[in-house]
Amino acid sequence: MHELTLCFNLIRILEQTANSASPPITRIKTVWLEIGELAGIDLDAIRFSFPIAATHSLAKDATLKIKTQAGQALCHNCDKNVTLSSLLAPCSICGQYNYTITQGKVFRVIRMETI
Amino acid sequence: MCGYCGCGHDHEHTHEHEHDHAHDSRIIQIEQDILGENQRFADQNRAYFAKNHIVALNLMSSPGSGKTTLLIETIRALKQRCAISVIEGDQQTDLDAKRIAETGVPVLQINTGKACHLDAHRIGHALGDLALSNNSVLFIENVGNLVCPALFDLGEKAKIVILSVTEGDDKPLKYPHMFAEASLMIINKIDLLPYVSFNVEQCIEYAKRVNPHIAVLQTSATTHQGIAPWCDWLLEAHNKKITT
Repeated sequence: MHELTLCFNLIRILEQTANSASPPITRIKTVWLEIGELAGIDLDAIRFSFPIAATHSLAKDATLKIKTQAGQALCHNCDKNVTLSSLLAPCSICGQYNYTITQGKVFRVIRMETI
Repeated sequence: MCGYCGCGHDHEHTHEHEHDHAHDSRIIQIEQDILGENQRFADQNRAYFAKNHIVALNLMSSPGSGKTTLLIETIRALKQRCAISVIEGDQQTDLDAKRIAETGVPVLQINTGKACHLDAHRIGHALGDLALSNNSVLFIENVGNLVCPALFDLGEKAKIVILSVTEGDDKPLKYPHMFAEASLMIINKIDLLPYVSFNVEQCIEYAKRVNPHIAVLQTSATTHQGIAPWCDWLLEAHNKKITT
């Protein structure tokens, strides 16, 4: 359940940003995240953990909006970029596993809407 | 609260206008990696290790894979050839640290409490408490867990995943993130192979499916089978021949 730890990290980033804003921010209404499909992060666990981590913060009752980033890999057999839905998926062209992941591991906070 | 748009603004007026909510809400761009803070601490740890020629290895596995026993046998086999220190990570107790301390090497126990993994910040503090020798090997025994520790860079030179044969040969497929991150997989407790249905070849094939570059060793801390090649791997890492 590393998602709870990650949500505490997220709250820290949000509050640091809020504290350095002028004029002061009293409440965070909406938070936008981007999570890669290969990042090893469970979206439901994030949605479950976020309100718990946010309880005593400016982001209490904030809405979470999550955009997912598709996984991509460079297949060394085909020399092509292919979409990868999981770490267990073979190259969609040659069916082999000889690839390097090029996208899909992102886990970042993009922006927040505040009052 | 404004009953029309729910924007939290107390005002008495009708809502025939089309406001853009600029009177209240603000959008603030952040664009930050949520693991960025851990990464900064990991980079600091890595710089410290590089400066002092310390090879730090992050050992990860399920609980009960035999990590600590393997580590004790490794320390006994290696401690005359290089300086060794250990950081033990567990949610509770200092049982593992006590076992390691009996080998005579410096050891520090970290209790993570509720957390299911070690993070780079805790390791940074531990480095302050453990006076590590230059040109030494630091083993970081992570919390027994095949999921969460995979995400947290500690600043190590290599992540090593230990899988015991009693756990089943399908673990690389069930917990792919761990095996994708590791440079080396150690298949441990191989003395028990005659008693369990664990297909070594199949396990290696699964691990290479999620990580074609993963190296594989097979060990038994009980019979000492495979301990010598494992020590060779460590000495090679110590001599900086292994790139990860």
